[in-house]
Amino acid sequence: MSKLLEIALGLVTGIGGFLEAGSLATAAQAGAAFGFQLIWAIALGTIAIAVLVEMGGRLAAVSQHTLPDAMRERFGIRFFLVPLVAVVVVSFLVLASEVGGVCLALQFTTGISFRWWAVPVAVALWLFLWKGTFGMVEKGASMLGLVTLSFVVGALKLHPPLADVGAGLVPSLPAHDTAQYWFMGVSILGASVSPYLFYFYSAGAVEDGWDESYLGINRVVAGLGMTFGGTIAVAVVACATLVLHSLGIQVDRYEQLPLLLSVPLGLWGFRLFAASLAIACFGAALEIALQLAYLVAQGFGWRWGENVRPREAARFALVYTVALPLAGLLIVTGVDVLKLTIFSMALTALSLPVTVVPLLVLMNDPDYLGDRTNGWLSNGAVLAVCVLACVVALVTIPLKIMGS
Amino acid sequence: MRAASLLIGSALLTGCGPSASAKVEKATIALRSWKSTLWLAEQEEGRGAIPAKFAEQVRRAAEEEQDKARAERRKAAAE
Amino acid sequence: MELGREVLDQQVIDARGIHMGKVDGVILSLGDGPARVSALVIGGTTLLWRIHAGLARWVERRRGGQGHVDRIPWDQVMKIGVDIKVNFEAERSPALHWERWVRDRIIGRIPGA
Repeated sequence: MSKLLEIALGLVTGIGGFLEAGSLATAAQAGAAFGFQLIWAIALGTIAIAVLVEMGGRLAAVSQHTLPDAMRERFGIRFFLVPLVAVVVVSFLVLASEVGGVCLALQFTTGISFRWWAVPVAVALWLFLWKGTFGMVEKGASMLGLVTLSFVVGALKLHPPLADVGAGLVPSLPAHDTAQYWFMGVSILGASVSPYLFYFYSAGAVEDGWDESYLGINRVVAGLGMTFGGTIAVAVVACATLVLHSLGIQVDRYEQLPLLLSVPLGLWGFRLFAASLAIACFGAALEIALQLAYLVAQGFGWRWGENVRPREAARFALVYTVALPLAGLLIVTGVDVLKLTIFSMALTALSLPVTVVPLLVLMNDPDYLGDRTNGWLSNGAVLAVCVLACVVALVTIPLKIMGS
Repeated sequence: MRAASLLIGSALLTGCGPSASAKVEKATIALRSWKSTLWLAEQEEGRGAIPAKFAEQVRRAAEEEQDKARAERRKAAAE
Repeated sequence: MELGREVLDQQVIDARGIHMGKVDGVILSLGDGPARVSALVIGGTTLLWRIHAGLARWVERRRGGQGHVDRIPWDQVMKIGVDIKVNFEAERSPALHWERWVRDRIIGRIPGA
């Protein structure tokens, strides 16, 4: 496949795959509560994930190891267990949120409660992984995910004052509710810098057979793909600001979200919202489930691969075969999907140092990266974001729990 | 780990949660927010931007959240 | 050779390219001269011993043994590079016991596997 086509596909994956339950919910809540003020959090998160995704791709292309593979080998089992457990727990909660997102989208369109959709959706996801190939998951789900561009269309129709949007890029202090402001900021960071994104991306680089000649593509795909994806999240903030914030509406339930697109785009907006929510969450759920399987299988040295038949990689298949029904079960219990989504984003932010620092250490190890190790700037920038996210999460999560 | 427990501990000690008046204010804001949501949903349904089936879901969600907020406000006012 | 960095926890691949697992442990033979590696160990409770000795002991007491362990003699090790390649076919190896068990009892029973 020509390199240009690869870039195009990679960009599509980045754009279409960026928005999911977490980034949608956190952006909508932030826009409704604080207008454009938290856009800087999206910008910061987007830059951080672009850098991390590029690192994951570089690690895979140069060392021919995926991240979990390299982590166990480099750190030994005792140190590997810590990020393993952290990522498994957090990923599972995020997975459940995505399943919930799909179910809610179906509830909005059919009127049938989301709890009834949990089992069929979990089964559909499982079937996709059982019978599908890596290419199908990566490219198919993401291409359909381009429907989330509707938020950009909706935002433009609402004529956001660009000066205010720009001003939002600079961090500012809120006029009220400081704890809530920082909690939302940190949730946005957790939504943008999802470990599953760079773990999945590095596994994908190996599945797609990338080598050192792909480093340029890797940089373009990671950088541009994530940036365009981040713009969609900014568009959600814009819609929320102009539709909800202006009316004093704060986001407490998913039911309020379709209004973000129905106001600018009418009934088609409503349909596009439901489609965006369903597709974005479905795609994200597939990737997270796969990433869980990669993480566990590669960490323990089992056979793995989405392109082999399940019986050729039985334990690998078992991981997602167990994770998906469990996630579905959580949704069947009728848990508050919005609270679950926001909470899992905050938890992601809290766990960032544990999930990111191993990657950073590897990226500076010439045994794995040869002469392609990190520069001090990328190291410093990523470390700073992770520490910031963790510290803010440590302070705001207890406050949030106490406040509700 | 110790730093985390110290932070959480101090947060708990300094506030022990929001005050009663803060809770009342929070509930009031929620009630107002849902009132506006209902108004907006009605507008949208009126012009055909959202289907009746969905508008019904918004009303149901609003009712649940408003009941919750009123109960919170009553509890906080009694403190 | 640095055992910790180059051998332990490295991926082991058999003669047909099948992933056998990670090196969970190493057996050293002590005699005159420096200690020599006599075997690689995969599977069973070997890994558990490195995580938590107490837990490993409890599991071994309950199961009456070390579980399905494969001790690969050092002379079967062909190459140590990105992965460790060994000179036999893993199909019947105890290291893959659980892989076979999951395949036969669970995954294999689901249609379309």
